[in-house]
Amino acid sequence: MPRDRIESAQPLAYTAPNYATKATPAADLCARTDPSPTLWLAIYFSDLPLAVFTRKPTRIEPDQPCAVCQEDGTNALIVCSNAAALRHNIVPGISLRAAHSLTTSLQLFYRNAVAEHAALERLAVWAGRYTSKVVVTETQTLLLEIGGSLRLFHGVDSLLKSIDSELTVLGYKHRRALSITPSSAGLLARTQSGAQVLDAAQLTSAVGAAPIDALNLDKRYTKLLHGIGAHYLRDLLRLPREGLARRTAPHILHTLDQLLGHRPDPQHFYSPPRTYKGQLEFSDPIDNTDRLSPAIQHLIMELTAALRTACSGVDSLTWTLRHYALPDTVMVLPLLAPNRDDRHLQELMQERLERLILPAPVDAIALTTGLFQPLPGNAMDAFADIALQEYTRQTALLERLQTRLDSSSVTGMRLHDEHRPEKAWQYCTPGGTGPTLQYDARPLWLLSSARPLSTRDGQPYLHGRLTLSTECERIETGWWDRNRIGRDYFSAITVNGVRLWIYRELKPPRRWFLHGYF
Amino acid sequence: MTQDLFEHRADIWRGGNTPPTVRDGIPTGFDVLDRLFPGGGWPRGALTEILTEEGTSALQLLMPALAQLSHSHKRWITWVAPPHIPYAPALANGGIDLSKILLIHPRRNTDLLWALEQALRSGTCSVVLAWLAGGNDKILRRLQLAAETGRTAGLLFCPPRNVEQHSTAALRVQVDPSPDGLTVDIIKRRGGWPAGPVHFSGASLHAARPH
Repeated sequence: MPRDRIESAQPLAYTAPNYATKATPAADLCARTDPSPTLWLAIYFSDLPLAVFTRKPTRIEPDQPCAVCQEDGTNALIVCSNAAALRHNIVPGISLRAAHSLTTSLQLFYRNAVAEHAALERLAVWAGRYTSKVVVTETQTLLLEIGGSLRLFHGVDSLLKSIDSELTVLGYKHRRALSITPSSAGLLARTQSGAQVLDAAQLTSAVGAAPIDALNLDKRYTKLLHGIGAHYLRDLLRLPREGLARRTAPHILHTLDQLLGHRPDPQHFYSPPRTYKGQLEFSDPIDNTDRLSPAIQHLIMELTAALRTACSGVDSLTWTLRHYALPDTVMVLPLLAPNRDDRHLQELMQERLERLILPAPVDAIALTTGLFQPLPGNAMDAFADIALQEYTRQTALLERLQTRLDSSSVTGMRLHDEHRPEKAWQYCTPGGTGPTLQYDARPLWLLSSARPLSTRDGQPYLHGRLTLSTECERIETGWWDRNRIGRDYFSAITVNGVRLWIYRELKPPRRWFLHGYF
Repeated sequence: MTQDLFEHRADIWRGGNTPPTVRDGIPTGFDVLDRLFPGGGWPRGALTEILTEEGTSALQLLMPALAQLSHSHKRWITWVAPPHIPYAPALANGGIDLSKILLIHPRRNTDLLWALEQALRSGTCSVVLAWLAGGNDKILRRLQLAAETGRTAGLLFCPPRNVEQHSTAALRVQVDPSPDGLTVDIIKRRGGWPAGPVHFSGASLHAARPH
């Protein structure tokens, strides 16, 4: 584990109590300068267990009741259900048996904790565009320390608005709350969506209004506390501390102190990986490439968000289309230079998709990349930026061409040190360089293979008699490999005035060939 | 007032032999052509149609301009579907920086038009040379728009039989071989009457050097 991560995690929560003495209206927050106040935004993804199965762009009819269940001792409980299921009174907490008795059309998923954690980590990467301090919790919640980001995003309101709209695009339902301590923000997001607690006085009353159940304590203690008539945290706060600790466990006091900012609450910040791996499952297999586009757009958006966070680019994308019965279709999309422009990546992929024939319906689509690469160019230099833009546009053109036409159809050319005229040049990657050489007069066009000329009275002939130059250039070389040549090259003019480059073989039968046009 | 308009607009027809005064063309390297061509050179951000038979050395007319562009610009000199191999030793002899050359060999005609449009539109090519078997007015209009968007000179080489077709190109020239060189006929130029023929001897073609 990198050391700096732990160190940077320390000071945040310690500062919370100092800050808590001042009342600062939200609007003033962005106007304040150094030091930025600590402010925690908690985003609670209420339907995360279900979303990992049903998130857009897979298609589940809106009136199809869906729910996720989880084993709990001997029976299974519903942990999350969609709106259609709620209309059938299938609420979280009821047993699976009860749910089945309420409707017969319930589509059921078993909770997938691994997928949920992975989804939450992807969201943490996405959240990296707002702050570098993101915490992934075990309670379907992300904690973002946004105190230092407010000025950049023009204040709390516009930042929250932007977060809300992007999460809607990503297809997650969420609740959020702002607070001055991390754990209270998480608690409020779960219990009082939209709460904004900006000072210590508000904090006590807001935390006090939360039900004890929301603390996720051991069931024994929850039952005990309910038994003594404590249903809300404010009831708990009124109890004598020693007594509470003796009857329950000392860590409950600890939790309460951290909620209120009386005790440091160091957080472990998420550090994004240097590669990307994303997958979307389709509940309904897709048999048409057009319908893959939204999924692709989605994955590319997640990828470019990750790249922005890491200040990097990728130099190739690997797409895997998973089929039920057949091997996966794998498409590798190489890029000429590390890139993170989502529109460009989408255009490239679109080109590929248009010519893709699906061997079978697609169950899932996955996008993986190699290690993130530094972007070309030096972004610190204002003038280099213009050159970088030009460079980016040039490679963008090449990539678009090579994606559709395949790379052997898009090339550059360079000289090659070789006397045989047909080998005195080579195709190369566009922009490549070769040796600098000087030649005698050469034609602008070379025929890809020399064309035999007919002769009349021993003289070459093409649409009439040819007028030959008096001088010729003898090229005799290549004895070291199998393509030995011996030729006398002439320039010739047809009766129409077209200038040709022709040669005569030295070996009998001494045939004439047309090799180029001047 | 009228003078003002003439100075700033290249697309106003003025009759006679006066070429438009807005000099934003790419200098051809031949004084006589610079005087006759609209904008004082190969038109930038527009199409030029070069009607010529295969094997005619029409490319010789472009060499000075290409050599100059390859050194003064960082942009591509793009060749779409050349009929033969553009011979690198001759291009290097002509002073062209080969690393600026981008060759595109599409296999199908639809890909050819697509690639041509992409190259013209991208704004990363100083000039795009393309060889078309035939093109109708609709295609040319589309390419013309792409050339305007990318501020790219589009030079289309077409067979001489296309001369009867209507064309939106800013400049149309017919290049024919003559016993000791080339003749150039200006069939259409934006803002002026047809002109020519202009004769080039083989020696004058080779003597031309970029300004």
